[in-house]
Amino acid sequence: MEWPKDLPWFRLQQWYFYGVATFFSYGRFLKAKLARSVASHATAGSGVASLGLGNVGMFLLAHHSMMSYLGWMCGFVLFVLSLRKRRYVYQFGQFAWTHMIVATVLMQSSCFVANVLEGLIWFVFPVVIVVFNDIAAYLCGFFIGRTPLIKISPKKTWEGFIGAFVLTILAAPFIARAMQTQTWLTCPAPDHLRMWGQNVECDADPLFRMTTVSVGDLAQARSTISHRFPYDRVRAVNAVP
Amino acid sequence: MLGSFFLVLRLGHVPVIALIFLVQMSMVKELFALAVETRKEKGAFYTKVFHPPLGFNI
Repeated sequence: MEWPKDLPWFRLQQWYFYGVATFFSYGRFLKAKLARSVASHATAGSGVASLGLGNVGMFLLAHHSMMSYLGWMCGFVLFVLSLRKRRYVYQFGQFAWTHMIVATVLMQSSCFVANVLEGLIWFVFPVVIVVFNDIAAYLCGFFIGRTPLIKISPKKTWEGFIGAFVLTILAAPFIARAMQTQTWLTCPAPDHLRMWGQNVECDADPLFRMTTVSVGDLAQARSTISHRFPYDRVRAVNAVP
Repeated sequence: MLGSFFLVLRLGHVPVIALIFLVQMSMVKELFALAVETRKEKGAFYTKVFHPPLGFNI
């Protein structure tokens, strides 16, 4: 491409904004970990030390929001300084593209990271379900597929889509049952970050314990919820003009 | 590939986050390159949708 080569700091700007966004999104998790680590240790000093961050890291984390904002502002100044005549439209277009890309990718991956920190099962289970669904769709489509599903992907069939949907719904409880017995999958990440290859042990969350629930209990719970929910107040609020 | 994925999972939470980070970086790299390439698509429908009165492409 001719244009980006002529423009100063073109790639640098893109990666700079990515770096700032990464610092912002991942810093939030580190900050939350720091707070929990400090709270769980007897003295604040040992809690902070257990995170294994240096003084610079601690300073950045302590002023995380301000540093993120300043980082973005510096990037914006860099962008303004890099503007060249007759290329404004292209440069502003690339500026917008960069932000859209960074937002699109980082938003979903930070959700993944949040899930991983709550326990690997919240990451692995959806991934396995998607893989299972894809394989089931392929097999169903291969053996019983007749009706085309969508023009953009001509090999997909309605039979594959519906078959995979049904099979995934049927298989998901069994996959979840197999996974919830593994503590290394269900345990959340420990408060300290030095956990390469170490076995994580924790008390199983009640969510992962098998319990017998009768239909009567469910009906009772439903009536309790409906009793507890203040429908009459909602109606009263709605009635107020 | 499946084996290495399982190995990363067994190593703990931080390696999995590092793996997500690597995948995320490679995605961003490809998309940055794609953003530059879109300039080649002169007259693409979305450039006209976003700038109909201006008469130029993004």
